[in-house]
Amino acid sequence: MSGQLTIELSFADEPVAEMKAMLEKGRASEIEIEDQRGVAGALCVIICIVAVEVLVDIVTKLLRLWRCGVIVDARGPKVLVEKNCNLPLGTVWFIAPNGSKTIFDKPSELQLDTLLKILVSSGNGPSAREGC
Amino acid sequence: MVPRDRILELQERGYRRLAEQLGWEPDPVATHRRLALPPTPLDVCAAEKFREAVAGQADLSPQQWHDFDQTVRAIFERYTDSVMPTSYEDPNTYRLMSMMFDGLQNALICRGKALVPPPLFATLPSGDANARVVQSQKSRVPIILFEQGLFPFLAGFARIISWATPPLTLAQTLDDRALYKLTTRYTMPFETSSSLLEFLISYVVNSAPAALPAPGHNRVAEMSLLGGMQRFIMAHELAHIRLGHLASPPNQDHEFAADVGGIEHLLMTLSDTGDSWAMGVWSVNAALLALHYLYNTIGILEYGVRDFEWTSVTHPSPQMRREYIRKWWTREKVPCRAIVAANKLCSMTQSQLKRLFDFIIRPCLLEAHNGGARPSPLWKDSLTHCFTARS
Repeated sequence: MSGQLTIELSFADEPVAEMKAMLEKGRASEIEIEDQRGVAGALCVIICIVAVEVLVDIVTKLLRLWRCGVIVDARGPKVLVEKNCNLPLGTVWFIAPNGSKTIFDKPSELQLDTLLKILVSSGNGPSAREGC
Repeated sequence: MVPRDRILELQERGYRRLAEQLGWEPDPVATHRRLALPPTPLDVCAAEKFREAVAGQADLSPQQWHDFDQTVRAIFERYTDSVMPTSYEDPNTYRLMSMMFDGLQNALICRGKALVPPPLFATLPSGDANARVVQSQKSRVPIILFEQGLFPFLAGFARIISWATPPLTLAQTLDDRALYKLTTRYTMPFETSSSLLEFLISYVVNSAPAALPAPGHNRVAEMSLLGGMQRFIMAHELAHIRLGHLASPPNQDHEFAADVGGIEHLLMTLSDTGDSWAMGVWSVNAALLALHYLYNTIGILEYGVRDFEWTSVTHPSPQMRREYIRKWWTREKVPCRAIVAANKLCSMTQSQLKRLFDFIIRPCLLEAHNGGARPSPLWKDSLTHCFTARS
């Protein structure tokens, strides 16, 4: 796999600096932080560009750091990686560009890697920037 | 990222999620097309609604009514051709938001404190009673997003409170001295309790609040209250921007400060238009009461008889917010009569709703919980972030 993806990390109750440092370590570029305040909750969103292979590493790390489930939604122009505490710890709910859903309980890196290959090869999902 | 592109992206995501919840094809464009309402001639509606509300109270000649209609039309005309930020935007709500924002921004302009750059605003399609402000640390242009569910929720609650309030004339709603003399002893119609119960259950369980009958005796109070509640929510979000909260991690102090900033801003606009101070305070109190009973309903339907507590680390409970804001407005340097009038209105509503909730609504909600009623998935995030059941 080669190429890059724009991802959007969405989470609450997590230190932003720690998330940003993790992304920088994974050589994410164009990191943009967005704060969201609502009537009854606050969210932080980090938008950045990462290499496709790094996304597997990021999701694996987030599962451990966030101590919740993670939704990886690849249907929009960005891959949304969302902390979701309604999902059991270690669960990854993957939504492919064509809308099909796969749920993994504590997936291995190999399983995540396979999923991301589907993501990149799919034509109607977020565009992987080859060679960027 | 360009703020308008960001709005488009969030709206697309919102419509896709909504389609999934409704069991439709997750196509945001088709979902929007299916749900979009045609633009309403707001000028005609507003004028007619007002005429109905003040029927018999305003002694105007046909010429004066004609002039009134012209004035309303002129105000609305400025917004008829408002350019929507995206094709997903609801034109009716967008125009109302534009009017609300302009009113609030004008008050700031008069005091040399205009918001620059002005925020963009837009609606999201979920039924959640929520609004949020979004700001990218790069673009610095704030975006205020109103969930479409917020508007019917506030409208329903304004209606319930108006049912539970003695009739207020137009003159009273504009004058603190008249409100000071108000007799607050009032027996609300029996149907109010069943309306409130139906409203809360339908909203929390089915994500769509039941339509409520209009309070024929109190249309002026309803309109005034709803306008104040809506403007307070927008002013609260604007306060987060004005106070620079978005650059630092969220905390409860930010919310208290945004509430105070919001009520100050609302009262500033009311004072500019010569409206009642007490009505403004009452509407802020009503907005927070509405959230209080919404979250109580969510908690009871989720946990049943188990005790639960508010545990959000970023947001104080609506009850705490109401108490905090009360400490603020009771110390304000305004004529004593205005404070007494606000106190009368707020205390009356609080005690009426508390009695109603404790003696009628809560037992019915417990019965509904025992019968299997649970909050819809719409409230999952609120339950996760705001509540913890006591074991």
